[in-house]
Amino acid sequence: MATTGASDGASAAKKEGLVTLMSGDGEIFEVEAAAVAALSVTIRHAIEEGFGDRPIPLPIVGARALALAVEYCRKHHSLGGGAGEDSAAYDDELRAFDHNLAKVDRDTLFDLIEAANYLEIEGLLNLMCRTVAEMMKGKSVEELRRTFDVSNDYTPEEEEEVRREVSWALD
Amino acid sequence: MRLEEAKRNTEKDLMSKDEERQGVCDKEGNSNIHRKNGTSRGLMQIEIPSECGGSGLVNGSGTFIPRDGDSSRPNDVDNSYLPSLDDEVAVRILARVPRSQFQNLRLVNRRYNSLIMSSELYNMRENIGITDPKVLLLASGELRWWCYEPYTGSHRELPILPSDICFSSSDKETLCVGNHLLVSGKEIEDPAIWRYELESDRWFHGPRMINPRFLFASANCGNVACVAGGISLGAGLSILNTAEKYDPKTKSWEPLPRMNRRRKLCSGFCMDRKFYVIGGQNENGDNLACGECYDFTRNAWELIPGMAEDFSSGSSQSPPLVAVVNNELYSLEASSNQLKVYLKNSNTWKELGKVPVRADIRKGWGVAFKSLGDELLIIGCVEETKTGQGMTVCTCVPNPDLDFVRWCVLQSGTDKWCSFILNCAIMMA
Repeated sequence: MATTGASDGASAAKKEGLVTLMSGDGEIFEVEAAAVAALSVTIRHAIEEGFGDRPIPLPIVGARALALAVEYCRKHHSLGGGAGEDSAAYDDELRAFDHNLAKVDRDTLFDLIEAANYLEIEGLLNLMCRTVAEMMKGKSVEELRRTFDVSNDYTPEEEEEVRREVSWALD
Repeated sequence: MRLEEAKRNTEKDLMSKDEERQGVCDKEGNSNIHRKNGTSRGLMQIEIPSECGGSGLVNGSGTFIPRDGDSSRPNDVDNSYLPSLDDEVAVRILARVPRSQFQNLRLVNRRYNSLIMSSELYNMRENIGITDPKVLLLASGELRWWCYEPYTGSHRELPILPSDICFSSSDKETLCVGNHLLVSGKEIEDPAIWRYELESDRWFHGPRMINPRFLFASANCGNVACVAGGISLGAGLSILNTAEKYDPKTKSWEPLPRMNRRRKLCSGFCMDRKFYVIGGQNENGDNLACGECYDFTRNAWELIPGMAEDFSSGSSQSPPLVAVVNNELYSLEASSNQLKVYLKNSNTWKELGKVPVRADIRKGWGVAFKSLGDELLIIGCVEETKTGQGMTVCTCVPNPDLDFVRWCVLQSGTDKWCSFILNCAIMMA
């Protein structure tokens, strides 16, 4: 896990091309600077600020989310989709990749959202936000509260009042 | 400068992670406090992690105000919109939930209610470029077109279409692509198309199709609109197998290859990024049970036998009522008012129950059956009409895996439009 980046044979040639990231739980990732810098604003700035030769600490990003985020950057960078899904390069392969990446459990999804937000990877953040919104689609109020641990602070009377305001379907 | 601050924050985090963590109330609380200052997206900054019971969770735009005094201090409860996520991210997520569900979200809790009632989600939708469908329709007896937004209920009249009397009083057909509404019909001298552009809120003349036609199939296929088949408005009223596409960028028509069959009274839709034409009648007036689809990448048509086999086929029946939601095809069977979903694997249809309006009264004519992207929309009458009874507008989020759908009635018996929809097209803008 910790050597995800370094073990990638194709690009492990030059140490200069690599940048070291440290996840919040202390795992070290050596990754291609060009790929992550192209997609992550935060890492680009860190490199510009002279973090290139030291590990860049990413305190709120867990190792698992970081590994997935790095994978996202690599894929999108290599296929030239750095500008996100609106760019012409966003083809079927990237679409399939994104689709698979979004097939994770809720907790991982949330971790990825936080990671993408912190690392400022716009495309990944949008992808994951859309995925969660997709999960919410068509859910009843109770299902929403249960799935996302949202507590209900309405009194029964208040809830009834709002319910009356909301126009309802008959079936 | 924010870069330096970001770096400072991360260094600080690294050095004193333990102390920092103690400062935050619970296991996941560390997510909020290290956020950098205002991001490029212009979102508000969250100062106080809600886990700390920060009262009312102040946000930058100040839109959220707890409704009741007692709602502000739920100790030990994660009061954020989506626990363990920053509220600003949660708003990005909630803004992407279909607009049709917003009213439902009000019931989740007080903060959700306040959020929906504020402008925050709507502003975010605008920021991230989420479009809301607009229903452009012309009802019988009306001179002017309406632009109706189903999720807000807002409606306004479009400017008067400045055509000659022949165009305004004869049958017309419509399609939308981009911010353009195209209305195809016939002026005294010639076939004509009038184009409404949303940005300028104006009508323009043209451009004419290469083969002007009526009773044709059409669909919005993303960047272009396609038409196929129909009856030629040229000499001889021949049944066409020609097809063409309209590009709103260039405001011009280009020919597509010819279909396998000549057909009129057919319907079109876009699914799996292909333009489909289904049903209708051939040059001998025989009903066609086949569909066909145009593959943009291969630039070729493919025949799909039996696709429209069990469609209503009486005389003076309307073209098939079809709509694609989330890339699944639905049809409204006009003779039975039955909603069906097309099963791609078996080339068959599955019934999803009757719809809450009567499409059978006028053999499918006068009813709008459209896709709002994520939802189906029906506008029609609930019963055999008396004059002025008005239309019912309802939507549903269909699920092809279920055997039923739950319809939501947005408006019932509205007297905005009389009981017959002449034209209806959905603009995603």
